[in-house]
Amino acid sequence: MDENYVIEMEHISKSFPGIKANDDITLRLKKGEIHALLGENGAGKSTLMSILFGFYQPDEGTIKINGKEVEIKDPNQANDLGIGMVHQHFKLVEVFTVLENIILGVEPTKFKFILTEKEARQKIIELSKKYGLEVDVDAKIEDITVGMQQKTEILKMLYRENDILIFDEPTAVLTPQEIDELLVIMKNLAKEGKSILFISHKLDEIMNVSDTCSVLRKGKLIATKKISETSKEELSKLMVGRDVSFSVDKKEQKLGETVLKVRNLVMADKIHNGHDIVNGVSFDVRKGEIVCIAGIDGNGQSELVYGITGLEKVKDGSIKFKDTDITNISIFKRNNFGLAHIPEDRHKHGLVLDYPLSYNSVLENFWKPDYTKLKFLLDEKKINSYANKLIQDYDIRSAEGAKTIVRSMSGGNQQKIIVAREIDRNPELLIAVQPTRGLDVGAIENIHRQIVNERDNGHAVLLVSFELDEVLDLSDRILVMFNGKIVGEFNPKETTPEELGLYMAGSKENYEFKEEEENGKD
Amino acid sequence: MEKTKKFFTELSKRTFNLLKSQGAFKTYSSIICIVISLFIGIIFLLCMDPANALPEFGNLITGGLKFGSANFFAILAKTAPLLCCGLSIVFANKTGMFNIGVAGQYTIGILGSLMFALQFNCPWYVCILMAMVFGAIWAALPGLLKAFCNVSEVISGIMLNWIALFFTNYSFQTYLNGCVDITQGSKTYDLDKINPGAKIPDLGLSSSTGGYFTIAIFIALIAAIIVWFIMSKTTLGFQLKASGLNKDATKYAGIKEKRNIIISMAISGALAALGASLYYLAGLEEWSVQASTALPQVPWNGIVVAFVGQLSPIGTIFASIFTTLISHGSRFMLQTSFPAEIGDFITGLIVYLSGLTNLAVILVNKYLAKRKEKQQALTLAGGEGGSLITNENVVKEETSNSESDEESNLESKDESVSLNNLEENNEEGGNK
Repeated sequence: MDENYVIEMEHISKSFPGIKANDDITLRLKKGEIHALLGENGAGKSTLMSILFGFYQPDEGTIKINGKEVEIKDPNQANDLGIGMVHQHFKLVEVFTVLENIILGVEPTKFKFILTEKEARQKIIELSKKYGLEVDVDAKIEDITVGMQQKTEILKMLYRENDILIFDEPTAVLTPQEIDELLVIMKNLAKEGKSILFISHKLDEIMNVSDTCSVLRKGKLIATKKISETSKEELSKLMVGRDVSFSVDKKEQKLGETVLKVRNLVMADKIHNGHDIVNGVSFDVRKGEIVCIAGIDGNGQSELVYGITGLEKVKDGSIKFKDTDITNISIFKRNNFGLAHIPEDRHKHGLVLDYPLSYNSVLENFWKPDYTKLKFLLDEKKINSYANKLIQDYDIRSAEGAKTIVRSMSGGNQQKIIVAREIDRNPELLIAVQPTRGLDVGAIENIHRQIVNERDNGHAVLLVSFELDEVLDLSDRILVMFNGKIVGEFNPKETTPEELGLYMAGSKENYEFKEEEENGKD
Repeated sequence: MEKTKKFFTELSKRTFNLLKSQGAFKTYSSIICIVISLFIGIIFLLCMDPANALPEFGNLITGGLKFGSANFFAILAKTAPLLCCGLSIVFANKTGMFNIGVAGQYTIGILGSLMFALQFNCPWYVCILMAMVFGAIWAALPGLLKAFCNVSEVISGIMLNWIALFFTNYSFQTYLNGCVDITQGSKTYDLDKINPGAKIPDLGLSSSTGGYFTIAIFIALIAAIIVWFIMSKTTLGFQLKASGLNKDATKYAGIKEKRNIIISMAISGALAALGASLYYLAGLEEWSVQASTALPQVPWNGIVVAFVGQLSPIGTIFASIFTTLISHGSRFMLQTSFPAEIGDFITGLIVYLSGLTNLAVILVNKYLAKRKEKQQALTLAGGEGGSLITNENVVKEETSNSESDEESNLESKDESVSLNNLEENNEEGGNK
């Protein structure tokens, strides 16, 4: 037994009804090492981590922490052993503040019952400064963006001074700069002697930060490689089992009429009263182009989309769809004008999780004659056959076909339902916010192809993404948002991630909207 | 021969599937809790009067069951309003609302039905309809407050209950002079005296059933079927259920969630008022204007039957019949040893236990899931599993996804996984 290993998971097997999620997996983590865990959705990464974190008991195999064999029965025990985890779906209390969430369970007290937040606040502020995880400690979780929520999760782990840290896809929602920062933080943590298990789909990050990488496929450990001895191509081949193309093919652009005109849009900030989160934004989107709004999470992109789609009321300015003013009309009407929306938060807005796949596939269109009898009865047969068509066309995988309750499906397939539903409505304008968040390479490839298809078919696409690779790959025109304003407009072929980064961070500004100007390339 | 054989194997397979469905598990849980509470009830009876306990307990259960007796029809008559109130709770609940204002809507329903019956001499169906309109409007108030001002429907509902009660009494005393018989201690008039046409039809069976039989029970049963139909077959039900499950998603989908809240409350209120009119227009009782300083009991019991019926319209039918049976049955017991409240006592026990048995069902499911897991692991190890893995890729994704979900959800996850799995197994068995 090597003294250096902090975690040894030996020959772990775990079966679920109908499936072997982990099959004889051996994973060893050294002290001060960053060990990446790579695999597609459903490859068994989450199961393995859940076993380590005490959610599940392995059917076979042993776990040793610091050379001692242990049985981890629940997450509390894992915590006592110094294991901390940032989950893919955050585990935060929505109505609590950031501070309350961080100290939850380890509240500092006086006389055992009086809460003393002062020291905790001090410690959290120090930690957040030290690692550059800037959050408003008094903001409520429900009011802050996904990115901020993730920072809270990381702070929570740091606050508990855990020695073994599990990051379950931590970079999925961060900007390039933030990712770089996080990777630096992770390296520093490793230097301080903390050991990190890093689950990710992103090969670049893995190559950049980790020391070792284990690849899982269909529940089996395919290989454990030293990063210094492998390449991105080799890893992706090991993960998917075939060669993967990293770029997207696009047809030549055919620009059409202007579909969306946003003029001086102002959206109020829900958290801080009297402050505007979107502050006078103007832009156009034309048929046959993908316009991408890049920027760091929390600079007003979400609210801008809420304004255009009608989820929140517009404070000032106007939105025109073709020649109709849609600034104040209902979401129902917007949907029927030909506006489709792939929402940022698929669980909150995109799906009714306890409805079957079939019902979710007609969430907006259930009232249409295609799916009803006598105008008020649901036509289950037609709904089912439509759902089956989507399942076929968009390769949605589920346990029981159209009858599957969506909650039981994997995140990637849930997202595929939304993408399929929205694109199949044949919209003139598709608004997609972070459409590939948390998905694996195969699914991302699929969704990117669908979005580009929309553009090639002469529809307009407005894409909001925090991932620069996606922005540069997909878009025909990039608008960078900072602090509620558009600060720059770029042609993806003539710009670099570094240049975009400068604008995203607010150190440069160069955008003036001109009415009726023919944007884009000619 | 072949065909009949096939039919019977099909039938047994289907029954087997049905017995393992989610709905069946809910039924088991309700039955378990009823049996346990009856058992505890027996223990209490034994403590009160050991010698008479068992035979008297038999009377409690079977007293109302003798077909053709007046008591049998009395139970049917009393079930009708209770069932409607239960449906009222069920309907609002599906939209994510807890309509605790059901008592107020019931009281307003009394006002509506008796006002049109006695003051305006309308026929019975008009009275019922007007009562439902009154109830709908009364329930729409908390709906409006919820939709536009985000006021909890529980708070506004409770307050409106009392407003409804005193508004009803005030209206009868001050404006509706034609309704109240002052000589009879300020009770409303007997329908037979003033307007026999306002009485719900009895098909000429009234005299042979001790005056208890009317078609009210059928109206209530039809209401239950309509509620089930709206919820599971119509676009309105689709929207309402979606609002109850995920408000944000319905907003995103362009469904008018505010309108839905109001509609759902209005229908819920109409059902409660329907219950009131089925009771008071059947001539079972008169409304006592001065003595009524507390809200009627029936709608509160409606909340009980809705939950014992597992918030399903069909379950509510059985729950309301059973609850009436118990509470009515207590009068057949030896009054010197056992107070009439014993029926209410057992109903109370059922309510408390229904929470506990849900827990029991979750535990049983967890155990079943674990056992299945082990069996699956064994078959997989046996070599048959190779094909399973490739075929059921999907299931794998499902399981790996459920892990990352919240801890608290794990129990229900296991439950659903186990149920899915049971069904799959059955299908496989059938194919072989």
